[in-house]
Amino acid sequence: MPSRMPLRVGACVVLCVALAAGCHPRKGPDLVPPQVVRMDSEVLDEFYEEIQEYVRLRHKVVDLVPPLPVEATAQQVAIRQKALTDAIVKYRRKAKPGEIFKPEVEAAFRHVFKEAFATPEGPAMMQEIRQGNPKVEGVPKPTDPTQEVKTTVNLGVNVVYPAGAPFSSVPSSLLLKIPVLPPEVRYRFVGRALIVRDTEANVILDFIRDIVPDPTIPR
Amino acid sequence: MTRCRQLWRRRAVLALLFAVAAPLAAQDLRLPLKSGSFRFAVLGDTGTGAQAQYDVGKQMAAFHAKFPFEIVIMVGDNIYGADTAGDFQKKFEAPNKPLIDAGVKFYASLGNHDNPSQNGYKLFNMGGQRFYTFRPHAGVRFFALDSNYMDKPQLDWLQKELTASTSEWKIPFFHHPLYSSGKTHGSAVDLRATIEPLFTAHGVDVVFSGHDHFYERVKPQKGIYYFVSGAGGSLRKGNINRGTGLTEVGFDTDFHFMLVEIDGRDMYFQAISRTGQTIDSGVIHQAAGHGIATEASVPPGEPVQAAPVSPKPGPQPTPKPSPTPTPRP
Repeated sequence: MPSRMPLRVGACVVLCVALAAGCHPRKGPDLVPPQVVRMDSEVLDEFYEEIQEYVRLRHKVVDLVPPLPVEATAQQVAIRQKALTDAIVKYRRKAKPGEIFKPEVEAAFRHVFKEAFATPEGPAMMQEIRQGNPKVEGVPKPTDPTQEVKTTVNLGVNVVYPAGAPFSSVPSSLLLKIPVLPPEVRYRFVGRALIVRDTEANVILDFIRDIVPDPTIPR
Repeated sequence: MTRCRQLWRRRAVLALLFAVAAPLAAQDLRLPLKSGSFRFAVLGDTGTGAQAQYDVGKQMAAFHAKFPFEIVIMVGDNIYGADTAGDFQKKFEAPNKPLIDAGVKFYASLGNHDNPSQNGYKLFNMGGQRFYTFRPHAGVRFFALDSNYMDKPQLDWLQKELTASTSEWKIPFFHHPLYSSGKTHGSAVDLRATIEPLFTAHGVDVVFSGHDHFYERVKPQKGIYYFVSGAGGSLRKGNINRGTGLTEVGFDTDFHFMLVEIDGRDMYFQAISRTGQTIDSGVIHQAAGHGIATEASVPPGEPVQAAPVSPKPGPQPTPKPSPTPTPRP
């Protein structure tokens, strides 16, 4: 792994992602900061390959579950989500940790995070990682909404993220330094771990432990 | 860029005229109910299913009878905890039944407790999107953002939509407040660094957020008025840190909601507790220099064009006295 460590001399890849805006004429200057991902291009390709493989699998699975009407009832939303979750878990039952965050990918993410947290913006980023982090925040009790109770989130691959648990913020300035994900999946934090989670199926796809160097956040 | 911003700031004079502190009677409507005005309510951090949420819902319905607002914007944490069909019923539909039955439309944004799948729920009117825009009234455009995950695609979208909008009132709403005196959460500083420049450059005057479970009207920041309205169903008593220097008016002892009325370049607001007491009210005056209300066309599927609201018959409240306008910095 060390021999393939990214971020060596000349291994700087700048991604300018213009997913939503590239074709639109604009008035005035571009005020949105650029997407700059400092990772080795091979490592990035490896990561995207795994993500795309998951998305392809997901598309197959989605075809098997009831479609959601544009204006769905709460029941339709719940039925579809349950069906999708079950199907994803079933299809990925052999998935193992490190299949998306392969060692070299994990190393690249750790390096980017370390650099990001070392900037003057680092403390603000960590403050936002605490927001909604299920290891930090609870849910208001229905019997007394001035009090909160925490929900346990088990860190594991193919584990369902509990319906009652909150979602952490992912700092915007950090998102601009790591690979953009397709809408089907999203980064989140559970304690100090970074996870990749299926947005709708609510399933943890992979994770990196202890990537957030904040001892005040429980593991 | 800086020059452009300075020019814009010079042109924009925003006055905030707020009520004189006084003993306040329950059910005291402070809004002017002007003919042809646009009216909406703001609700945040609601979905607990607790009695307090039902109390707030009842109070909103009572005010709706005399202040017929057309829409409610929800600033996130719409459904806490589990989100089965039964939860949607208990934590949203039942507490708001009178308003839903009256045809009031709710527009949600996602909080940190919200399952992203809520965007498919028809009564939240999100159109399957985690961020979206709509124009319920000529000259008024809302931008519902997903502040949990402000990634590049969303930022590019926001810039594009703000740039394209010629509405006089461009009103973003989202969960995490850019400015807040919350002891538990406080200001989302990292998020602020990314999106505040877009707001200041594109003539945003007012922003609504939640997350911190109380009411706070923040002193204008770079010419923008920020409201934290995060106690529609959950509450953190005594959670406002009075030492931040941000607070213009704060209320952290009971649950609340907000009513807003836009008439031309005036935005009247009133924050009301679950017992019906007015906890804050005033008017933000937007000076010339912002977009012109001539949005003729909007992207398909996004806008919701509502009929103008007719004034409710009945006693017209006396507008509050107008202290010296506060110039926009």
